[in-house]
Amino acid sequence: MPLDIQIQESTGDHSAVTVKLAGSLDTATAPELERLLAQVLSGSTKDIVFDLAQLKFISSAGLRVFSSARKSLRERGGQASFIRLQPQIHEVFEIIKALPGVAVFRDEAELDRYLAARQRVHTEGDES
Amino acid sequence: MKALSDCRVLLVDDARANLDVLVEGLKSDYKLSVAMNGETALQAAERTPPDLVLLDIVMPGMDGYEVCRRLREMPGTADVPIMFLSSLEEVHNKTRGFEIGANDYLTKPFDMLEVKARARSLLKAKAYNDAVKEQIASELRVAREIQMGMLPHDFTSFEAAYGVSFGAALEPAREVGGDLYGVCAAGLDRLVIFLGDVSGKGIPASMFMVRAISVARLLARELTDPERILARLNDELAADNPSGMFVTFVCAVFEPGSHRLLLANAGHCRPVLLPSEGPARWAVKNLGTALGLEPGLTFEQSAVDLRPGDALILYSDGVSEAFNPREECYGSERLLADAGGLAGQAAAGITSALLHGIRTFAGGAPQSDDIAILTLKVNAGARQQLELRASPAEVMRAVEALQEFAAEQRVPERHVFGLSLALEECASNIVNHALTRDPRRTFHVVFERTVAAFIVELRDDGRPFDPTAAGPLNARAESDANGGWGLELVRRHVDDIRYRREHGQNVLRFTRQLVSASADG
Repeated sequence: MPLDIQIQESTGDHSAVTVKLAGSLDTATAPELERLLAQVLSGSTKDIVFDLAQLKFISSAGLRVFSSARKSLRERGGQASFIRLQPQIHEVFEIIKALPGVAVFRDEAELDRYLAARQRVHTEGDES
Repeated sequence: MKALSDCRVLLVDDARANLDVLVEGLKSDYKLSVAMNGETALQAAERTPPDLVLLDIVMPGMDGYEVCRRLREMPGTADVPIMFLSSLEEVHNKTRGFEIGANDYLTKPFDMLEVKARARSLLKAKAYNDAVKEQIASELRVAREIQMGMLPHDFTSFEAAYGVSFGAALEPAREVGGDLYGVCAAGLDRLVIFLGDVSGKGIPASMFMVRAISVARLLARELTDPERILARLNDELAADNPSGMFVTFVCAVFEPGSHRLLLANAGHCRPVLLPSEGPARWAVKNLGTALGLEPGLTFEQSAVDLRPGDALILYSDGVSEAFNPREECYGSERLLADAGGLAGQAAAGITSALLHGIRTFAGGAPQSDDIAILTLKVNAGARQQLELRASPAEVMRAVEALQEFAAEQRVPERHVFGLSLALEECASNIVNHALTRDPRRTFHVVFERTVAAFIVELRDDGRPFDPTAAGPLNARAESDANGGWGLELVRRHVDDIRYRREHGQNVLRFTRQLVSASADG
């Protein structure tokens, strides 16, 4: 099963990049995702949202790509967010979901609430 | 009920004048057919079966008695009311008419009013009779649907979960009958199957069958041993059984994990055990006592092995006691011999071949008893082997092959992701570490599906590499430098993984249980 990768620059408030993955993120397809993410990370992107609604399969090769991406993002004060994980993907994610810089959300709404709350904290922090 | 004005009356007389009088008298009340001799009358009756026949006796050629006799032999007119209208007025003429099958007899010369009164009376009786028959037939059709609905038809969920296949047939001798069978899942490690035969036939047997199958299904979920299922079922049926009916019943519990089959018999014909190799034999020795006659009975229980490729055949005595036109009985020895020739077949094939054999033997003799057959066969193990080059794309080709094999083998969907993941991780390790991604080198993968488990074995001739040697994963490890995540994922998705070095090869073998409770996750 191939992997389909769609990268969208967000036009919303949060200036995050959304990466939609469909298919299988495995030993054969992980290098291509790694290459495309390296391009994104060469810019100033701080946050990446991975939409995994159509991701059917993931192995540790995929986890490694996610983990190294979240490391780069964390170094510049951002994070890797993951939304809409199918149950079997969620199970595999147990291994990395507690790592700093990784945040797993049910859907966009839950992510937006989280980002809005973080925004408030930052704003209040600036004011004090 | 049919309106009287829709009824058709067939008038048979060789005298034109008589016919004219009858037509004139009846034409405003009924539809009419007329015939002037016996042959024409029979042809008319066959073409359009009448609701009443008014029949002259003395006619040239075939006389009225013969016409009456032949009408009674034709299916369409076997029950049609027939009234003789004859100038023969001796008592013996009349009694002969009734003996041949007439319903009424009027002597000529007749009064048209009396003809009309009697015709009306006969037609009303026939219409009532037809309505009652139609009602009973339609109720029996519904009763049959209800009864058939109580039997399992779709075995696919049992087949997938227990690594077995079923073949079932039930053919009542009448619309409804007293044979029954059932399959019940009692947890992931026990499958209960049963087959019974209620004494008698038809509606009373079918009512008792409904009672027996309902209670049996409840008990099969609740109790673990066939002997206890029989004892409780017997008490339930005997407790309130004013009609004194009984049911012969055989119950088996199959445990796929241990290949053990427990059996208990309550007066039923002995099931056939059909090993994958070797002749067919009886699965139990003793017959036991039928259920429903006397509370407090106990039953013997025996155990046999049911290995991959073995089958168990439950059947009712409509099978073993089928007769042919020479009054010869099919018999249990013939059954054993015929079943022995079917060892290589699937469960559905065994059931239909036995049914076909019985029908062929019966040679068109009417089925005298209900026939039921339920065959359980343990699936033989299946294997598939692949040779793959040392590249990531080949790893994923192996994963896709596993998924196709699992689908063919009806491995439940919930196991397939974990098996795919474990294969991807293990094969990636071989490709990346043992074979250093050298696409000229190859490795082998074998999938094996047994009744209870799915096994994957990987072999490569690369440098010694034991992926299981890595220590347990530090849950907060921030990196995966030593490949620990992959092994951790494998461990979470299989029940057992072992490595050995053999003849200069790395051999890695992992197993996922398909039927034990531990594989639920």
